[in-house]
Amino acid sequence: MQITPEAFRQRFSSLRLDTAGTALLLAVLQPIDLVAGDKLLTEGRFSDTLYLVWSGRLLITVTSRDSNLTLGEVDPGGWVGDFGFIEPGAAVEDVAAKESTTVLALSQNGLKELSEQSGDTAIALLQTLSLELARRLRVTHIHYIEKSGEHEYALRIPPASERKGWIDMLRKLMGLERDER
Amino acid sequence: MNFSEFLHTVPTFEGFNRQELDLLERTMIVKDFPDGHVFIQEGTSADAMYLLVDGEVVVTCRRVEGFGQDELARLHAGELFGLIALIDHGPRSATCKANGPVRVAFLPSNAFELLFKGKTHIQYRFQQVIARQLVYDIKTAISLLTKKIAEQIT
Repeated sequence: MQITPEAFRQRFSSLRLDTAGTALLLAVLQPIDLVAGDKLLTEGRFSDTLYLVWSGRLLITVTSRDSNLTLGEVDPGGWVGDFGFIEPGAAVEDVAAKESTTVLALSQNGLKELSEQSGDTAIALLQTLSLELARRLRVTHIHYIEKSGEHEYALRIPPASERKGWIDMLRKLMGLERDER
Repeated sequence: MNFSEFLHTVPTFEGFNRQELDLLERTMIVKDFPDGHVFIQEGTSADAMYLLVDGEVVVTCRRVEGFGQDELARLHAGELFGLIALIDHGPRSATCKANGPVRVAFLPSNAFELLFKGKTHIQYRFQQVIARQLVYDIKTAISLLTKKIAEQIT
C-alpha cells in the first residue's frame, strides 16, 4: 500500500504536519492490516504504540465490574493508543477492529528515529497530542462542574439516571466525542 | 534537599541531561508559600506553570450555582499543575490552593511558551513531560469514572 504525503495530510489534517514532516513520519509508520475482531489493545496489557486509523473502523470498550461497556468507534483520521505512546504502561481500554481495518503504527523506536531525523516533526506531533489531551481535560472539567452542581458532593454516586452522563464524560476523556464549546 | 537535587531526582524530569536540568533550574523560580495561598484562581488567565516541590496543593472547582467548592485532586511533590490554560490559552479551569506550607517552582508563561513551542532537544523533552502529566491527569479521571459507573451497575 502506497500512501502519499498529500493523502496522509488530508486524512490526518488535525496533526498539522507539513509535507516534508509528513514524508518523514510516513517512513517510520508501520501499516498493520486487521480483520473484524482482531484486537489491537487489551485493557491492562502493556501498550506503547500509537495507531493511526487509515481505513476501516475500531471499536473501543472498557470493562466495568464484569461487563463490557462499549464507548464508541474510531474512524479513519482518528487514532488510539496515545496514552501508552506518551507514557508506556497498561492500556485503559480494549481496542478491536469492527471491520477490515488498516492502521499505521508509530512505535517508540519509530518516534526515536523520527526525532533524530526531524526534531521539528516529532515535537509537532507531541504538541498536537498535548493539545488534544488538554482539550479533553477542559471539556471534562466543564461537565464536571455541571454534574457537581446537581449534587451535594461532586464525587457522590449520582442517581442511576446519571449513568449516561458519566459514560459521556468517559467517552470525552478517551477522545471519542467532540464537544465544540 | 535543594531545588537542583530535587530536579535531578524527581521522576518528572527523567531523561533530561545535566545541562537541560541546569537550564530548567535557572529558568524556574522557587518560592515558599504559606497555608491557604492561592496559586491559580479558576476563571482567570494563565501566567505560569507550577511544579510542586514540597507540600500539598488542593485542586477545586466552583459548583455551577456558585456556592462552595468541589475537590478534584490533591497534588504532591513532583506534580505539575496549571497546564491546561497555558496550552489552550483559555481561562484557568480550576483553583489550586496550598494545603499547609508548600514550596513551589514556577515557570512564567513566556518561558513556558518558549519551551512548549520550540524545536530543540530540551524542548522535545519538555513536550514529553507535559504530555505525560496530561496523560496522568486523564487516566486518574478515567479511573474515577469507571469506578463510579461500576458502582451504579451493582
